Amino acid sequence: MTSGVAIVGVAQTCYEAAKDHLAYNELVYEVVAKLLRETGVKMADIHSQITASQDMFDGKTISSMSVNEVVGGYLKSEAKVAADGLQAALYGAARILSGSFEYTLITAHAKESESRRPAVTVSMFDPFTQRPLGLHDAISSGLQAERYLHVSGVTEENMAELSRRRHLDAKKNPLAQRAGDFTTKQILESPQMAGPLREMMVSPSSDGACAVLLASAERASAFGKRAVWITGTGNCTDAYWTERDLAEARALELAAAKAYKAAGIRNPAKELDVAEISARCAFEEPMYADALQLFDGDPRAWIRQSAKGEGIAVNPSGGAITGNPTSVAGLTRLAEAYLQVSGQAGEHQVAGARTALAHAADGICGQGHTVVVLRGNSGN
Amino acid sequence: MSANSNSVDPIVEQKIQIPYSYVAGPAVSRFLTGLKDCVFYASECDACGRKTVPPLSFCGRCWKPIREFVTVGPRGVVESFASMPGGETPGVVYALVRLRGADTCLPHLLDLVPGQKAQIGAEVEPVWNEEREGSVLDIRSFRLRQAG
Repeated sequence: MTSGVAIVGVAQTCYEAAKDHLAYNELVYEVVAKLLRETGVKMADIHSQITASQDMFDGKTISSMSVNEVVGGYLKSEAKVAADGLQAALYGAARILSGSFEYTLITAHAKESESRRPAVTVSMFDPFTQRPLGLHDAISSGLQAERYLHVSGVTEENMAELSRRRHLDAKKNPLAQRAGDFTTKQILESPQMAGPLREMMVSPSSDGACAVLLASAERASAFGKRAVWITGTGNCTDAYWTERDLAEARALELAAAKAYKAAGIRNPAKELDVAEISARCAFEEPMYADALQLFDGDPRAWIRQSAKGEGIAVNPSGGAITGNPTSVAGLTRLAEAYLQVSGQAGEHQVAGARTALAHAADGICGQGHTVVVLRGNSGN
Repeated sequence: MSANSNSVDPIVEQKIQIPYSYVAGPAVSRFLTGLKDCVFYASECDACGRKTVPPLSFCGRCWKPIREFVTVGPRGVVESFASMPGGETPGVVYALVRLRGADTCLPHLLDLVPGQKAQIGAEVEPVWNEEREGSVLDIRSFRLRQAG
């Protein structure tokens, strides 16, 4: 049995509003081929695959059957999660820890452009008392944003400041979808989405795929500094969105506590070098950073600091707000955290990054959360 | 058959339409039936006392079945709201309403007359349709209660 699980390679497509040239299984092929090319691992040596996707976005029931062979699952053990790819990574790590597999390939994909996000997300809601009202996820996010702003004191200007900084950072990430040197005025004057949320404060519709290769400790030893250890994981699910206070993320606090304990982290704000947080909307970032104990006290002070690039590096890739698809966003965070602690993040590398966190949110108003802590083999 | 690949449309338009007959179950049925009489039913867990609306048949926190139904509302408080872009006319406003006595929120529309502003904490009341059939749309919307 292995003594641990490492990430030995990652691959991402660039993220785009509409990838009209490729079908979704072809996007997955693109990242799997890139991953094998870069790691030198042969598909014949990978016997375990876990994929993440949403049937409603793919427009096909059990749509993982369309990517099974692309991920090398022909006559092998492929399983699918209908949640973020970061949860797929948790299952993949468990498979390796079981001693049954030396590698597990994790993929996530979505082409949001092929459907209409409101039409897809309306089906997340209760059919008896919510769908008749036409609720979709932009509306529930707007309701949550207004509640969080009211309770926390965070303002629309604060959200714009944070959004401005992430889009600026995204200019250094060649895979980012919506990057640029926008002004807070441009962000505040972009078209209204719902409630206090403007278009430039919310992830645009996005197409893309991401792949991560997990390996046992025995296999990982051959990868040197390109092997990064999973030192802690946590996953937790809260009550349905109408049955909890939307201004806090208690499930994330609990998921993080579990991951930090396993990783031996007592002071996350000091001990983590990078945090890649899944925040589709600007208000989610301070709310989640608070639950992750990345700051203490007034979220407005943290936003001002983070918008200046001070303190712990949060979303140096630009983050999900600049455009990542549903179910891919969290696995993208893991890939980015891996690139940081293995010193391969290129122009957006955080100097000396050794310990990083990746986070994913699932469900209406972040009902479920997943946290993974990574540690690189040496400083870079 | 033409060898010209440019003549093929690479994007295929389709719609998936699937009929469903969702079974509401005893708890939600109680809620929907109550709306016909302008009454809001909630479930009350006899272990933790939590009142949930629309009602549940079980308390997930105590992991116990629920057999008690109580009435809540009809007045409530705005826990959050979100106005939607409306183009030339004012857009609709959604609200999360915590009905008086309930521990959870009911999402619905908030009807504002010109000059009124939505506010968290504002007191609201339902506006019922004349004809009611046991649907959440029997409530036309919630409206702000006038002060005093």
